[in-house]
Amino acid sequence: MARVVLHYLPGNSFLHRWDARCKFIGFLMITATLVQTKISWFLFDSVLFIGLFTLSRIPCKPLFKESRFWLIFLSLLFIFQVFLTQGTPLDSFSWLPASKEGLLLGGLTFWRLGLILGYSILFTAVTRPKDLRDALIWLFKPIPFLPERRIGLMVSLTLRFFSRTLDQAQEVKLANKARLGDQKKNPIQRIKFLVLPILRRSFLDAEEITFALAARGYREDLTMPISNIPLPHLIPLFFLFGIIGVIGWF
Amino acid sequence: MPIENLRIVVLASLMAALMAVGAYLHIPLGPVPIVLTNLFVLLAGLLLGSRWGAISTGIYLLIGAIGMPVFYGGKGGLAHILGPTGGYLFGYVLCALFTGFLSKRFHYYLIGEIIAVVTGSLIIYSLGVPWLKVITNMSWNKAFVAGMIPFLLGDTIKAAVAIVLARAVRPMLQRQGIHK
Repeated sequence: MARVVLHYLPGNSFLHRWDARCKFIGFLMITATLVQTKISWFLFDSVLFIGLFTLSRIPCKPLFKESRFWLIFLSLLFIFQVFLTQGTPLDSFSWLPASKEGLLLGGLTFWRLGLILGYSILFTAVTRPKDLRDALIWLFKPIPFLPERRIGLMVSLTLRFFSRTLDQAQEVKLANKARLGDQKKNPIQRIKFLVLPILRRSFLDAEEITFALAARGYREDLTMPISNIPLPHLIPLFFLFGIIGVIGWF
Repeated sequence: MPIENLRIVVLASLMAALMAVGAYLHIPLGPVPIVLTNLFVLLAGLLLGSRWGAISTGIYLLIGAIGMPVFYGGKGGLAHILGPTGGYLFGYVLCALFTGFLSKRFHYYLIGEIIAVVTGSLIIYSLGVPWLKVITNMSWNKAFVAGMIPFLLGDTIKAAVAIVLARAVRPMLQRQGIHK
């Protein structure tokens, strides 16, 4: 379930206080390194993740507990790759229809996706939705003809809906299973009975949020002062850029 | 900001979130499981119209581009958008645009909606398959076999469900003033 993951968790750590724009650029740099297939990048990103997670002081127990959904998903992907990739059979488990190449590919995919997920959870946990919105506004402001405020609002709303709808999807799936809905042979009916309740609940949620925004007098035409990034906040970013540059060089 | 405008902004964000959730919902059917992202792309076009459907899909791509795990298989990042499956992702924007345009043009009649979703689904492939071919240096035959043929059955089902769902949900939106 996604009740805690991909949500802001209040705190007063260095990561919570770090300027959201710097966090955002750092997050983009790290996700760019995760595209590489070199083990050294994976090791660097893993060590950095453990360090940042410890630094953030966010509670790990509920976070891991509620990341079960993704763990199951990643494990299924791993199993698919281990058993469906052709190659040399495993020496010690020759009776298993798995290959060495599949094991390596599955392991690397699990590792990479786990890191992408971990960094996303960490980033949203230490960044207030308002700060994320402001960071996006700052990023899109120089681009002409783009309604940067609306984009910022839509991104923060989408992230909020995403974790909430994942929860609802799990609940609907379980309710469907309890009523033997998953035993239906007709795929159109199966999708309909899964998606229609999710849609109905989500639209009701959306209506509530619309009224909440209207009640608070949401406007796009007010000028918003955007301050410069303070120098001390830029130092960790330069440091990260330097390390990434050094690893990339070697 | 008028509440009608605010409502469509919130609904477009909701559809973008549903596209992301669709990447995590699988319906097993034969060797290729059905992933529900493009069902929600079609729905965005049918329910929000061409402009807001395309905006909603654009927001989904933006969230994926900034690194959130919202693409198929929990992937995210700019590299994924520019990778072998990037054509399909850009195709989503055009798909929502054309599906919304055609369904409105045909006044939301059933036959018009069928034409709209079929055209929308084909637009995804018309961008996705050539992109896959160019990035991976495959032959046309291989690109069609790997990037289109196995998904056709699932896409037919998703197109049918998109119409059923759009017709079930539209009265709710009409009451809210989204559909006139």
